[in-house]
Amino acid sequence: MSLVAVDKVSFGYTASRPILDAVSLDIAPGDTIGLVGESGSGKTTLLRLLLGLATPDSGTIHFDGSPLDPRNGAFMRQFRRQAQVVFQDPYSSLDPRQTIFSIIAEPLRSLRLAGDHAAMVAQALEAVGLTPDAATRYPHQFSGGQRQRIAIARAIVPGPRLLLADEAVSALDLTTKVRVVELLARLSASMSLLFVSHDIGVVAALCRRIVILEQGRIVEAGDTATVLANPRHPYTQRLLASVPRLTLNEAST
Amino acid sequence: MSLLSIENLSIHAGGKPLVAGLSFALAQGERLGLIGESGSGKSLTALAATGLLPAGLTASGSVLLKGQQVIGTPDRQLDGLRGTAAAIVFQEPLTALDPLMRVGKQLAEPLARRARRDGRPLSPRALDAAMLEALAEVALPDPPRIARAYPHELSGGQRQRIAIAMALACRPDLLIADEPTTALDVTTQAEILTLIDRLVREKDMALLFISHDLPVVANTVSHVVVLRQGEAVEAGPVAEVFARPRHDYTKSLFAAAQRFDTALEGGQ
Repeated sequence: MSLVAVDKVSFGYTASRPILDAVSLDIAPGDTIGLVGESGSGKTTLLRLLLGLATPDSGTIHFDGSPLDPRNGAFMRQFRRQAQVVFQDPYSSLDPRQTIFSIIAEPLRSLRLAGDHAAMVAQALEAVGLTPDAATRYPHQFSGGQRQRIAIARAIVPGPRLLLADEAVSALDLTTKVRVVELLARLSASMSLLFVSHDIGVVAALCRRIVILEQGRIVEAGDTATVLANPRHPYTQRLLASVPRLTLNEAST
Repeated sequence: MSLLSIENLSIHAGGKPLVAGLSFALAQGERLGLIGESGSGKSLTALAATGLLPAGLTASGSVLLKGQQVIGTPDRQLDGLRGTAAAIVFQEPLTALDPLMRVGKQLAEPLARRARRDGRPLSPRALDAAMLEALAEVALPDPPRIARAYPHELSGGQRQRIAIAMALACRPDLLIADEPTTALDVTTQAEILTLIDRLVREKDMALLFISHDLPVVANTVSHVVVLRQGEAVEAGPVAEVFARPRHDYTKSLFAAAQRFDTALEGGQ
């Protein structure tokens, strides 16, 4: 059974302009899916719907077999523990006035989870490759890549089954990006990952499946290697052709 | 003679060095890429080249722009060089453009200025025609409509075309492009890179292209300087540096870029 089942979901912020148009998507346990689209394609909106931060105009979203209903408090508390998110900009997603311990322990507090919070935070820090002494420091003492690791630690501390990442490596330098992608790849062994990105190269390196979104519609989806080797939709082809490559093209040299 | 000649440039904030001992030169028609990650000093170098460093930062060494020493020269004297000797296109067109002014009017300002400076001021009608022509030159569709638009009514790619048109308005000898496509979608990026390539070739401008994105640099410039924490670690023809990076830092940059490149080609 799928962990997440999105069935013909449509959504618009205004009635006249749909942002998502009959989007269907299944996330199986352990899946890594890259959701690729350009600005305005609706990828962040889809993420908001998956988090229950907005409800579809039509269509349904099921999590673990139950409908995702933001008004169902008991269900949502369970759900929040199981689905966590990492945002793009680690400079705005971490509270500058809280210690790293307090930031990472926040989901444990707000979800009222029992257990040894100090040990859980220490474990999360270790999982993202930060030293235990990071816990007593503040966000400004860390680089962009380290901050993103902290944001990831916060997301994994309640032990989610689904990790949603919205452009989580887009703001990072290239060498840092590689290391955070490696971290996400390692974490995805124990949870499902929906990786939202405009960067098709990162998706190719990280995700087993790929979904291409254009103006609110899924135009192509499938096994990443298959889609990249043989893109069928014209938009996918154009997207791939636009990605700059390292190989020098002879005309310019 | 070099159009831009930078020798032993250092930039300090208080006692802290941000750029140290940087040297490179750029002649007419040449294309140089400055590669670096955040904090490498690549944008500061661009600002120093035109004497636009923010207050609080001090530059030492020598920056010769069209034969004129930039470091230590008062703004009033540099004004004549800005726009004509070198013009800059910045990363984020939304902050580079005035949100309260129609883009046609913004673009007309540097056009009128250059014409006045050349001693042949344009009549309002001629200025209007020059403005529409400049819009057409950066391949914007329906120039009269675009000219009446405010920046927020245009897409990111259209805004960047406006910013490029404004930079070209003074017919600069050197175009400095500071991460001009980083804020853009990949399909738009491809269009803007093609546009910059065509304009630089047609107008025989020199290009100083600043980017952290190796694949983008690879097909835009002929020579590169790799910056790390304010120091040049490697420099040379792009084909050579890209084929055989020598410095460890350059190698690590390439390994990183390669990783996503090969993934795209179907390898893991």
